[in-house]
Amino acid sequence: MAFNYYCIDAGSQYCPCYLAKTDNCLICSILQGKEYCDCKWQGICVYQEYIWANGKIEERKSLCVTIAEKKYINDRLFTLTIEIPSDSLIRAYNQPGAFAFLRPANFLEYYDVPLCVMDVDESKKHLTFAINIIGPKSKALAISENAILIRGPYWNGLFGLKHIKSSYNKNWIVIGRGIGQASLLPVVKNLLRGNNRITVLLDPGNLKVNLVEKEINKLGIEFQVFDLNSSFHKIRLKEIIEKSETDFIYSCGSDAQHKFIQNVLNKVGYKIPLVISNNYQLCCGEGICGSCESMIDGELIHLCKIQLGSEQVLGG
Amino acid sequence: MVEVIIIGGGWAGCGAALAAKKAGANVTILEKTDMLLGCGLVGGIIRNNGRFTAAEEAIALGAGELFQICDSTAKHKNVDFPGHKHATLYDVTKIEPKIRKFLEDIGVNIKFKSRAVDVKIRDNIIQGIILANDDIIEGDVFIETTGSSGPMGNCLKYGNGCSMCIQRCPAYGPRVSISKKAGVEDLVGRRSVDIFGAMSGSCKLNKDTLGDNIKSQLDEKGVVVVKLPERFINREKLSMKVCQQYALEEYAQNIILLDTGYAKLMTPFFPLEELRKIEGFENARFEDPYAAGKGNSIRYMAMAPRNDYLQVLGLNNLFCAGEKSGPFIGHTEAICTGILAGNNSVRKALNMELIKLPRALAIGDIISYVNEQLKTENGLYKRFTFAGSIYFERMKQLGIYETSPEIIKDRVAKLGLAGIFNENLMFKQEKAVGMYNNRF
Repeated sequence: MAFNYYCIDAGSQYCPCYLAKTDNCLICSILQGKEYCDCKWQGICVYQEYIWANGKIEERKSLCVTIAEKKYINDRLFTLTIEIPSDSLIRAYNQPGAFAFLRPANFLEYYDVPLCVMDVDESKKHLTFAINIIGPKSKALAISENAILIRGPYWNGLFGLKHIKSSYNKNWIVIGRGIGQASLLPVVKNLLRGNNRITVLLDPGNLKVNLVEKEINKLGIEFQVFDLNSSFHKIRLKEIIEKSETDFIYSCGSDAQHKFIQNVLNKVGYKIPLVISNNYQLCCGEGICGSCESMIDGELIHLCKIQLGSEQVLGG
Repeated sequence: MVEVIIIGGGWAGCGAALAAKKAGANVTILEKTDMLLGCGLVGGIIRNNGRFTAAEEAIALGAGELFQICDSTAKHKNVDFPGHKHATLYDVTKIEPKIRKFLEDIGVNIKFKSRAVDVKIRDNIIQGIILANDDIIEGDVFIETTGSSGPMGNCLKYGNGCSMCIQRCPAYGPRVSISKKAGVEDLVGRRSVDIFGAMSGSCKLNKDTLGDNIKSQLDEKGVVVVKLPERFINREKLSMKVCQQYALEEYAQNIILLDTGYAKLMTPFFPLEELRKIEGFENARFEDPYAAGKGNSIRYMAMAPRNDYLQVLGLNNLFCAGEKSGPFIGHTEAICTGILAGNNSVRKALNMELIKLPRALAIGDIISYVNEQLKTENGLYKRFTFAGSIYFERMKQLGIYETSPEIIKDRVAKLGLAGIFNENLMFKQEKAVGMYNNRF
């Protein structure tokens, strides 16, 4: 059986996880109860880690942290900045695709909201999230004032991470729409460290506001305002891609947006890898609850932990 | 032009590359590490007991160059050690660049750090090999020589854990069974009903860390036998061993060292703190990064069912050699099966009749005999080598064992097979069907 995917947690301090104990490891055949060794190698042997850990498992626990700042952008949208009390933890959050589960103190677990990390300030140990007030969970977050519970870090917030991590001196287009822009900054900052040239396209979408406009300006990157709903921009996008000799694209927004961009890319003469934000319904983040389960290439896969290419997620 | 793709650059893969190249094909070796020879990098023993016969047969059959290169780097010739006669010890620290240069010079394309992870297959015909970096290497015929040892999960589950052996899985990634990816179930060797595999039978000490007396004896004679105090004797290790030719009482009672460039210690592992209590070994250390104080690699985890042409059953264009083709032990066995697989792969691609070597030759007999034995009840518990144990006994009984190169050459010539692996098949028209196999 060929496993054509990676586990985002393999090799991290959270590996092996509870799934290894129950013979449900996502990548190790022996920790799936099989007789022989056969995995898609990620540079470490999960079974070896499991044996050495001697049954111990490091779980992500909910941590009560103080709210440093709460800023309303409009009546339905606010950013929440919290203070993380540990240097190593704040570094672990400073990754493209990082996310966490937040809920107000004194609320039960089912109030956990998965939120991508919008920005990290390592010197102040600040984490910022953007919250669109829609349902009971986001409303509960909106009323919390001093302290909040956070569980994380989780890292599988986007598909195609390897392209970002290995990119050096390449041309990137980053496209963010609406609340999807919340995952844009860590990606852009990571790409800047790799000396990449970045074109940012921002579409305010239904929020009617570009969440990251100010921060993008601060980084000295020029951005263009865009409307992905208009057919005019479909043509414009193709022009921008071809003119800037794009190597990679990161799309943060809805699945419809990912599909739209994929269609444009299919019409471009050469192959451009597409990196996309992970839009699956995440609930536990640990590969256990099953809310993010999806059928990919004929297999049921937990997309909170499995790292895939965008073509596998979106289909051809 | 016929494209032959060989997966695995160990001795079997090198043998296959040599024979396929001689037969006129374009040959590519895919090797996961940055060196050829695989376990051969810690081998060193050839021509002991029946291996002498097999090596001379390979030379007479026309594909003996690899043995001749080994002979040319040999540190010691005609060495006797317990249970073994007339061994040649080649220098494992010097052999790899020589083999690499030889294969490159004859035009074999070698792709290093290219780990095969899957196959592209259609109607039981393999079309290409998928590498870990998603590249696809296409070809007409494929020869799998990935061996059967490791990866780490197997060494953990059925042994003492990863001992950082020459396979270097943690650095270059695990071996993948290509035949299994193509849909053919692996055969797995056993030590007992529920324990699979067997442990590699020797480890390596750094020669400079041994006592002067031992070191000079090794340099001079190539072999040192040191009697073990009774409290250090561990007979259990004998039954764990792959190498049944060394699973003799002498190997439990003594420390047996061979000079193969390193000091080859003929036991699967030896706890260092115990070893250092023995005179002459007070400062001993294993060759880095080998954790031979703890364990050794687990082997025979992934053998392919095959016929006597070395073609994998159930697939149209996959051949196998070395440990992949059965519970063979040793580099002579790997090279000999490799050259047959290499030649037959080109025949397959050209739609020519495949060759089965006659049982009057040691190479032909062992290939057929192992296949028969694997089908018996206890077949998966057995290991086979020209160098000892059950198969060497058989060679002696059948009168195949021979130490005169002239007689062996004559034997091959009488069978009409002299230089057969030296023929370029691309230019050869074979009209008479059955011209090889109907005679035997």
